Amino acid sequence: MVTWSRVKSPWLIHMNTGSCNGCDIEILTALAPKLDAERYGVKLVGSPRHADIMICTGPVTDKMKIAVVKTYEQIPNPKFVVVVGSCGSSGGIYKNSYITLDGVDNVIPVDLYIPGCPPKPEAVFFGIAMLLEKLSSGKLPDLKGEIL
Amino acid sequence: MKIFIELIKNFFTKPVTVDFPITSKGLNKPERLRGRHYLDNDICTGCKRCYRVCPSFVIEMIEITENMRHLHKNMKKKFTPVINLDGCIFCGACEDVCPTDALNLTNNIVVPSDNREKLKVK
Amino acid sequence: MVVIFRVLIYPGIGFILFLAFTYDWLYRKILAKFQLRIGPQVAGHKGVLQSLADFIKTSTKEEIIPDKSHKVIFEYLPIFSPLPLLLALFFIPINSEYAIINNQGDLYAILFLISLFAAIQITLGWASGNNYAMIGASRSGLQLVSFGIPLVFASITSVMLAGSFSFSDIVIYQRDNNWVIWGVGFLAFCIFLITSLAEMEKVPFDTPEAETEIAGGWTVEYSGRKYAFIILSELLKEVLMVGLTVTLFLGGPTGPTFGMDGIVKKILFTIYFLLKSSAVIFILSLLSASLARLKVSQITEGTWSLLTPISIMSVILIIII
Repeated sequence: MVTWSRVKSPWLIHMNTGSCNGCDIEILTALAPKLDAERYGVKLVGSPRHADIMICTGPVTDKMKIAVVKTYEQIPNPKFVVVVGSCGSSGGIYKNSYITLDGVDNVIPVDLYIPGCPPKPEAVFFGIAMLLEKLSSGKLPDLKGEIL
Repeated sequence: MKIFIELIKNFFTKPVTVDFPITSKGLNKPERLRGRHYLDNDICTGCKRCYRVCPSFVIEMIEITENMRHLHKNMKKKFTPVINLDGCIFCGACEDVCPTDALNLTNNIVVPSDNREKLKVK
Repeated sequence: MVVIFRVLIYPGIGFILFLAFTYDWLYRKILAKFQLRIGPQVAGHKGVLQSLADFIKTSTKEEIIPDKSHKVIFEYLPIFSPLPLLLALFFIPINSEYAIINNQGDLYAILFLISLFAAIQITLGWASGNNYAMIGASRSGLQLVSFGIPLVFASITSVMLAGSFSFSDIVIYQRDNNWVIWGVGFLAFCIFLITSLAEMEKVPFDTPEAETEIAGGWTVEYSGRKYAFIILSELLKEVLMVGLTVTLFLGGPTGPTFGMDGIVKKILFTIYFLLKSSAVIFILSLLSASLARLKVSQITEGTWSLLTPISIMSVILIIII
């Protein structure tokens, strides 16, 4: 029953770790009427204390590193991190730059990568659905992506 | 006052929401959407042009070893590209520059994954 | 035995909790319909269990206690926060003209308990020792001050018509005569709806817990079981305000009984109550969907220069008539 409730009500906190706002807009599009993430109980909350899933966008800049770690530590367990966008996954076009840390996974553990620059809102939504599937069955569904 | 009329009109119309992970019918998918890469190993000559042109340096050229030969029949080919999708910005430069049309961008979206090793096109 | 059943199950705590979770689902669903969305869909049939899932999930999460907080208040007050609202809901008649508790000063008690909950909100915000929480708490206090007077004047209308502070007398008056909303009470009804939206901290008046500007307001530091109780108290507040609107202006649970008596009559009355409160929730979500969040200055200016004079005028109107 606890797992059921966790799968049915993922609350997101959105953290911009130095991105260009492209991915942020696409995340908001995934919540908009066309894809309506509220169907799956998704809700955007303001405080990290209420959240379950942390959505990071952007390569972590040097200044942002402390904020990312602090926000991650403030989320109560169990918590998950989803990275949206190519920059957050590996550094993207900012790879090997002197000011970025080449992706979120150098700072905090990451559960899911959604590549794309920016990813389509369908991909963001699909990523969250995959994470919920992994939560309920313990295994990530092995899809080739032909339905998209 | 106008907004109340609009909202009540909305209340009685059908929602625009698409039941997405179950069906993708009704979603807007452009014909020329630049999505996941497709690499045809038989046509590829390993010329490294895509490797040189890539603006975000995500294409690696790996040397073809003996146990990879069953994938690459062309004996003249020394190198093969590996595209790390986790840093790709899907600009299409590699597709444009490819002399033999071996590298193509399909219009399928990249499937999210929990492992960066799975986000590679070989 | 009957008393225990009435208090614990129907129409007591059990039924009230059922109403709390259902009303929130209804509110979200109707709001989604206005925005051409579907709303909660996968939790239970058409998402009925969405609020319950939120509640269970939040109550099983880790609890974090910040260093700067006031330990005792932070630890124990959230658990008691739903109690005043639960007590207030015992005054609302749900399945007959008489509620579980009915005496001469029902309205006094309700207004006192609503203010008590606002005081709890402010204390909770202060106890978490966070700047955002403090801002949220002060905004919550501001709303209490601004909307207290219109709330009292709007609810006084039906008291003056019925000639009693007791809810059962008000309901019986509306059963025998017209509902308060038809006629002079309509203005008071509109004011009461606006103030109840403000008390529920729903969209146009959600400055105390604005997510995008002050990161959740007075709830910002609460997590786990404590936040679950805060969610529960907000859901109960929704039921309380909707129930008050139905009782004061829409004739309570009364309606045609077709000469029935006993249990059938009670079930019929419950159905009438649910129908009337669904209508109220419809209007409330229409108001929420049509407006964006107001500024704090706009709220205070609007209440003191517009809402309060109108509510006083509506009371004077009733005295003249």
